Amino acid sequence: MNEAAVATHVEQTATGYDSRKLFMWIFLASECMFFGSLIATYLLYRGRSLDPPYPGNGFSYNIPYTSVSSFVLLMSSLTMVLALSAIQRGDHRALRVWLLATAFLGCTFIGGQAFEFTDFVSKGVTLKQNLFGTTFFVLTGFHGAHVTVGVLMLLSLFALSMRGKLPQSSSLNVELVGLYWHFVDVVWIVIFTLIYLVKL
Amino acid sequence: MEHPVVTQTRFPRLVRRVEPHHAPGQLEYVRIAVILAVLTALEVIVYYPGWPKVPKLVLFVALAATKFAIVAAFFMHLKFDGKLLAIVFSTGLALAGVAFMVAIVTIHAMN
Repeated sequence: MNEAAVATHVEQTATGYDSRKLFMWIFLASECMFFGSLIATYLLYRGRSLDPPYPGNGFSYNIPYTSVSSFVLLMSSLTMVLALSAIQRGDHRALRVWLLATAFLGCTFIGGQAFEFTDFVSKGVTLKQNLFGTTFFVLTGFHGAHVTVGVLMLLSLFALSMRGKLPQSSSLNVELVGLYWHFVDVVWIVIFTLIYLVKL
Repeated sequence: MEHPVVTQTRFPRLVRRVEPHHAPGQLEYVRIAVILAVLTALEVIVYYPGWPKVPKLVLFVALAATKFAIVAAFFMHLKFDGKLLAIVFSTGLALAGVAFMVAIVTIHAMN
């Protein structure tokens, strides 16, 4: 059992939660609907492309490659939660290490996605080619953009910590970025399963 | 110790109780990450054999849902926070589920 010894100034709220934390969860709920609609659109148009290439006709996913990408993003969730644990116990050096590790893994994931996109384009799958290309790139492109924003937030936290502007009492800031990052990971769990693995 | 100060609320059951935060320790987080990695490996293992479509689909969805729940509960600390946050997030998920159902119904109608 680990008790987080955090001296946090908590505003008086009717819910008992910091307003920023409640807002972040509401924002993540809205993001669920955003990605839900993009995934639903992909599934709706799956198998309805007129022009190849699309899965099953001149194109197939590289599952081992994407599995490694998925593993990288999953491990970034671990490093993120270790970063939060570090600042909650006042270990700033560990916080910076884990924040950098999370950002590095996030960049690795983005790099993997970029390589995958260029590979798909070389095989004729583009944003404008057919329904598959459009729905796939819009969905995974938006996810990649979210990961990129997450990396920028992580690096911002790192910079703040280096300048001594991220004390233990501000651990909520790390927690909020962590919530966003874990959500991005969770969305990829759904995307990897429904888009890459499931053949409908 | 984080002690949120609760003033007045019309939803006392949803408000987080003022008690120590029993979050997992670092070792527990690593164990959870290992479980997630194993589940991911299982998904890839299930992908390759020529099993029937429906059982495969059920397995994929079950594995993904399990991973989703584990990350939400332990990494996002939903298990250790009060019910209100879980309800907020679940509402978004439910509405996303509605979008899914609309897509499935539309697919069937088009077929």
